[in-house]
Amino acid sequence: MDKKIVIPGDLLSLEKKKLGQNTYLENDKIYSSVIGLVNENQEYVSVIALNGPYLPIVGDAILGIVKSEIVNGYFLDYNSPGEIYLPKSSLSKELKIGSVIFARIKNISESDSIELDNINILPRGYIFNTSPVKVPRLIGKNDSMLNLFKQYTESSIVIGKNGWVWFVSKKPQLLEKALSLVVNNSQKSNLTNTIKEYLEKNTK
Amino acid sequence: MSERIDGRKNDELRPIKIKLGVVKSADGSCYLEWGKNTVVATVHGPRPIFPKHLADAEKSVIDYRYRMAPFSVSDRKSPVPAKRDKEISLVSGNALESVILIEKFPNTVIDIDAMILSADAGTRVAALTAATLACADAGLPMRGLVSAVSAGRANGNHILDLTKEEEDIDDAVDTAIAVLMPQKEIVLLQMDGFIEKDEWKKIIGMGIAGAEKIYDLQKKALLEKYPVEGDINE
Repeated sequence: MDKKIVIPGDLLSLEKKKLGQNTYLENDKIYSSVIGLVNENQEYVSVIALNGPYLPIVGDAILGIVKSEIVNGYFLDYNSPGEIYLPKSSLSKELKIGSVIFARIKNISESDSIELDNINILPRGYIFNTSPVKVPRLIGKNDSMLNLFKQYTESSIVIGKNGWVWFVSKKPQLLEKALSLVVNNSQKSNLTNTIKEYLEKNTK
Repeated sequence: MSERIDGRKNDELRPIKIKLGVVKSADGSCYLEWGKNTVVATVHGPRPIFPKHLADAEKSVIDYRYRMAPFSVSDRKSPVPAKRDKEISLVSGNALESVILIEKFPNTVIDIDAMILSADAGTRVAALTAATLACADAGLPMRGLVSAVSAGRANGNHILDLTKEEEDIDDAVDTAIAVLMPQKEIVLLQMDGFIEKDEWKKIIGMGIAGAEKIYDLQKKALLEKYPVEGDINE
């Protein structure tokens, strides 16, 4: 696959098209607003960013870490500016500061406060911190990359859309190395095979 | 026409070296060597703003900090921010505010720090050039890149990218020009000295031509960080 990298201000299209992520319109021309890979077809153009902050979208499954506790709820960190308030009434169990939860964004109100549902409390594990734009590469097509990690490092992994990866593993160092390899080379094609070779070489 | 002190042509820049992603703890960073100038610029954020009354419900606040290290000049510079530092921080911050799409991050602050490690005239343009690259490296959405350069007059010649020696000549005029590329919008313009209108126009034209050269270097540095081909690296 031929990949084209654009930088902020690069012209994407002179024609009228639907504006996807990370694009903007000026004088009827479409420009890129970030450094990233172009994704274009007949009526649509977008740019997949290579780095960037997380902006919450309804339906995203994210990881959160309990930052502080008040009388009737908790405040969660989620790799983004701001915090999530999680009321105790929505939980069956008490949390501690540092507990990790995996939940879905149900609603974002006008004042940007976030409501969660499908809340799962995760046991003790490691957190790998990366940028949310790397998440599609960490999962791969049909979970190919994720299955590769699970198979070769005997781990259970939960990836949040906000760029946090929770894992418990028998080979945590190898997994962390493999994760950072994917993150640092996310703009290259045929990554799954390269990572497979790397993992095969290091598990023997 | 007399030649310049370091043997450059009138419209020639000093050698420039750029490296991205040098500060791992920052969201985006850039190291820039521009002749004898050395700058490190970092970006943190967008992150929640404190105290809360500084927040803007419609857009993010840009907190740009231009600082010179005490060892950056031959006499020790006091680390306490002087009036000059504050002024440059304000105008450079305003320049970047018009470029970054800040309306996407309401109630937050974006911290941009530009530290001058070594100074030899034209530090504000070097800092701004580095800061815009750090912002692009952090993945902040922007309308383009800010390419900044200084232009002016010394010994009766109109020259690009003045050094400290050239700035100290008695008829010297120094203009800092920052241009939003590729739209070619001027986002910062400051001048020091006395000059005729015609000469002024010539200097501005020279500055914009210089900014285009800077833009090419910035583009190259950004694309270098993400090689599409080759083996995977750690």
